[in-house]
Amino acid sequence: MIKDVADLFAMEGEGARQILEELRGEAQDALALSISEAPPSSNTLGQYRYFKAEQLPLLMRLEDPAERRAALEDIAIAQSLKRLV
Amino acid sequence: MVSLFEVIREQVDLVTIADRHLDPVRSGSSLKCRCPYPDHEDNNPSFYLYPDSRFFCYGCRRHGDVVDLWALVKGLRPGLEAALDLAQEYSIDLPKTSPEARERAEQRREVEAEYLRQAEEHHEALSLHPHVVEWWDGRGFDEGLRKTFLLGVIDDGAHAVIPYWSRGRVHGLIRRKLEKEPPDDKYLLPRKEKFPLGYRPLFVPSAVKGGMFLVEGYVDALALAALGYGVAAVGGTYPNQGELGEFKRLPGQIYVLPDANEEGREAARRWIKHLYPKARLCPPNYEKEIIE
Repeated sequence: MIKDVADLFAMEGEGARQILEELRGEAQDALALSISEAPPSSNTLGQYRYFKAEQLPLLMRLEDPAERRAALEDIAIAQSLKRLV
Repeated sequence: MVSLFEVIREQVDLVTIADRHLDPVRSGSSLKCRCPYPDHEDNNPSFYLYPDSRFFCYGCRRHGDVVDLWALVKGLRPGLEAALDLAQEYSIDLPKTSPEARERAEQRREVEAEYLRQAEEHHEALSLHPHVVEWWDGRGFDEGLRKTFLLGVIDDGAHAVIPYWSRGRVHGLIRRKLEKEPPDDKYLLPRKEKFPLGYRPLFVPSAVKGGMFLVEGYVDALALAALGYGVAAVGGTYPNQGELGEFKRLPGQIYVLPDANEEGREAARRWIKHLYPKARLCPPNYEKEIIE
């Protein structure tokens, strides 16, 4: 099993570059990851708690209000939480 | 507190100075030219400029960073005098520091230079320990890469050794066990007070540039640097306060490449939360098939 980048380089050498570029292309930030792992929309209380604990602290780190608003809308749409917006 | 030498290294590219004064040519991921030291007659170019902003002459064994090169081409005293002159030339705003702080910064440079000298010795010692050469070869680090990163051997062949690179300077020596012996860690690090900064800095064996990778292990970082990527390593799963401060100074987006185990994934998730929105997490799916 290839468990880290060092193993990948030992096995593939220069060929590791292609895999690394693909992995970089699939990278997600913390907010996108939190959206993908949110509780199901049927669990309203769970969604609210999850938003407050996991997503709101991230939103507060966005300095640009327009960017924060856009991120909030992304969450609302993805998690069917339109009432939050 | 960032020293004036670090501010200058972050803002003036070694290649800019080399292009103005030395006429270097590309050699792989590095540049090379004839050695500019006046007492070294260098007919076969042996003066190399590396992407992490350091130079090394394989003929006269001299080395240094952008401040040392500036001292050389302008005929100034290496250290503070050259640093202040270079800052003035490139209109760099230096942090306000006391004379004592400047003296400490110069002393730190001397310690870093001593670590580099030791790293060279340990690299040369590889010729006495073929089993360690074989170990490095098995990790993908051929002679050229061993020379670039000054990878070596220590403790009479018991451990491999990696200079603790951080932005072109050596901050200590890392012992790497040749075999992992659970439950111990595979790396043996100097105590924190042995580091010139008084803490363990980010391990940065490459150029600092936008879109850098962030990894746990030092050999992971060397592998990415060997492939030409910008990379920093934490050397574990919990960065210290100094490293956290350095994260914020890295330019552009950071791509976290975790180890493919539970501990690695958990650590990476903490990092991207802490560094949001600057960091992104790559899936640790290293066994993707290479598309022919």
